[in-house]
Amino acid sequence: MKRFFWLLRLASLNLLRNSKRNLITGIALASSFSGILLFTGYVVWVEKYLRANTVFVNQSGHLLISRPNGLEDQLTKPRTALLKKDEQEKIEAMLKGDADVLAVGKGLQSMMMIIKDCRSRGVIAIGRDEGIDRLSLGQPDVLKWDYELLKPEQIPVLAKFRQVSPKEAAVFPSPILQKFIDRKTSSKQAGCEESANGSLQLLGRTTTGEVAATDGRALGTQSTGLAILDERVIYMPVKDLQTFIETDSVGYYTVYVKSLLALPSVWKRLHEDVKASGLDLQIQPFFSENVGLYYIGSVGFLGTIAAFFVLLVSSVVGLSLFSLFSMSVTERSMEIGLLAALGFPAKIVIWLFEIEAVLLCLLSLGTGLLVAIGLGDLIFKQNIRFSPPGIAGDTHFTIAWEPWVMVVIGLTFLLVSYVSIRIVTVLKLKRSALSLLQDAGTL
Amino acid sequence: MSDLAIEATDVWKSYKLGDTKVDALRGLSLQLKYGELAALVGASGSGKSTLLNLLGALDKPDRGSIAINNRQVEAMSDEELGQLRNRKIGFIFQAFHLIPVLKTRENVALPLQLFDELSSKDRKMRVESALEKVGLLDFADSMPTRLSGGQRQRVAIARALVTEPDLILADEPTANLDSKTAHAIIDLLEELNSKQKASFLISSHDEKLIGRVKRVLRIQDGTIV
Ligand SMILES: Nc1ncnc2c1ncn2[C@@H]1O[C@H](COP(=O)(O)OP(=O)(O)O)[C@@H](O)[C@H]1O
Ligand SMILES: [Mg+2]
Repeated sequence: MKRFFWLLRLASLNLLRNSKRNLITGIALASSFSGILLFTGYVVWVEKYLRANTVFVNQSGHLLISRPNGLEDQLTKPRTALLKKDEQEKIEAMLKGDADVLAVGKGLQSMMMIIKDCRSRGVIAIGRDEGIDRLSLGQPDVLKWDYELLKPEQIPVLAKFRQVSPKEAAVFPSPILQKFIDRKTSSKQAGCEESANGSLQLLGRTTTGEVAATDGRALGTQSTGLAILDERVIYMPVKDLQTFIETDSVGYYTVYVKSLLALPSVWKRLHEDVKASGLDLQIQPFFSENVGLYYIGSVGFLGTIAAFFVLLVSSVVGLSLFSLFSMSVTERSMEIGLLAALGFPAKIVIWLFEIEAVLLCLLSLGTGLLVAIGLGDLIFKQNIRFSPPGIAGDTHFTIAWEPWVMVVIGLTFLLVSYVSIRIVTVLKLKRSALSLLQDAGTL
Repeated sequence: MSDLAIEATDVWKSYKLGDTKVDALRGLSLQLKYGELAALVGASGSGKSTLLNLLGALDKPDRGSIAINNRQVEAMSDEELGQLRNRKIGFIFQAFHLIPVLKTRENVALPLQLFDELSSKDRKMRVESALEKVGLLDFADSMPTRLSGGQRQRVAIARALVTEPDLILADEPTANLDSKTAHAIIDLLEELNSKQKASFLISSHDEKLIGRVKRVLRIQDGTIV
């Protein structure tokens, strides 16, 4: 222990001696580390944003239970794809009392046409579960990352609307469709008088194939958060959609877990229960392609790039440390040879250099971490608006910190640095005192 | 047990320089008693450093035998050689070899870092006593870069003394110094030898320097003449 502190002191003194060169390497290390942290911090934000978006805002849940292919088939073959009342009861019974489950929601989707004056547009109506909306508004992940997407005022608006008008269906079009609804008619055609603001007609088919039509009222916009979905999605309460297509069936169930860590076990239990019940059901997580295509596509792509950058940059860092320490070791042949001549085992001399290198790395990584956190904070406060690919509208540019990701990156940097130092020391230090002193040219 | 600090018998050592082989030592034999001081004098290239490296257990002979403190060097492992150098031998180099980031006292204390049995207090006492012997106690807390050449070599001598070795080897300790300082260093080494129980072997290519040394060994073409 005493010897360790002695080595630590000698290592620090040596670092200070070559302060300029070590400073430059330290700055390079710190800035590449903070650069990587900021980039991965962005990727982490994308992950959190899209996860909260997929799971809560778009109500796909952590797990989605439907008939096999039910998510697509509910649009084209609702009669066979929807879950009947008795099946619903069985599913609800399976999930009841599971301590890891936060909530269970119902979902239903249907293709329809919205008609405004003499214009019409094909859309997908997605039934929202009001209970889940209420729950989502209290979810930390949603409030923290997707606070711009969920509109807390919707729920009271809906409740009020229900009291005054039971005959109209409530819809929440995406901002794009809201523009369609708001556009003034230019047609001179007979019967194309302008209707009242926000009122429209819905035209679709019931589960038995008959034509369904009703008046609707746009009560506010609700974005899906995703550009391509916003082109053709309107939301409405599940109950209103059921009434419209004349069914008490639902398209799917969504399951929300209390903690992501509990997801595998909930998933497994559910899988077993479904098997035991004999129901023909499919369970898909939020990161499957059918349910969270954007989530898994973006996070997979950005995550791969981030991992690649981490490896690339840490290798460059490793190489520069390698050359820095090769130089130091060569320059300090005398010192090393002297220690060997005085009887110091090679092990201790190797430690000396390794402690020096690790010290430099830790100081640089620490600085890089502080710089990254400071910059991340600064970036957030600048309130930069930008449109990430695939995301509807613009959003607040945010860097998110996930401790375990930072630890993994830090450890990768340390490991790569340590390996390069180790190569230098093993290559250059395991030599006789004599050859080292002769290298120094002074024996 | 003989009373010899060094006993070298028919020692051969050669170096490879490209394709040619240079015989640095050719069947050299040498004995040095405990407490004795001898000067090793020879022209540049005569084999002085090669010999001192072998006697200092920094290298092994190709042939022949070397005993330091009655122990055969050829048979020792690297670890044993390291311990021998640390405990029994004090080195003084031509170029001083002080560590620039360490204070004088820390440079002197360097070999004691491996003396786990010494308390910090004992270490401090030993360091200060060694510095006192070379007359540099007042400079204990100076950085070596602040010292003159002669003072630096005195620090190096204190570092060689601090472990209380049986044998002190000095390879041209005065070659980097002006002649006045050089004489002072040789005088110091002789004075230390008279007070210390250690044996001293000091090499030089300068005949004038060792005028007053009693025992002079002359080396030429790798043998004592
Ligand atoms: N590492 C080495 N490689 C090759 N030849 C060497 C080496 N060290 C010494 N020699 C040769 O061995 C001979 C003796 O050298 P050395 O012992 O250094 O003499 P001195 O110290 O008396 O000047 C010289 O001819 C020198 O060139
Ligand atoms: Mg020499």
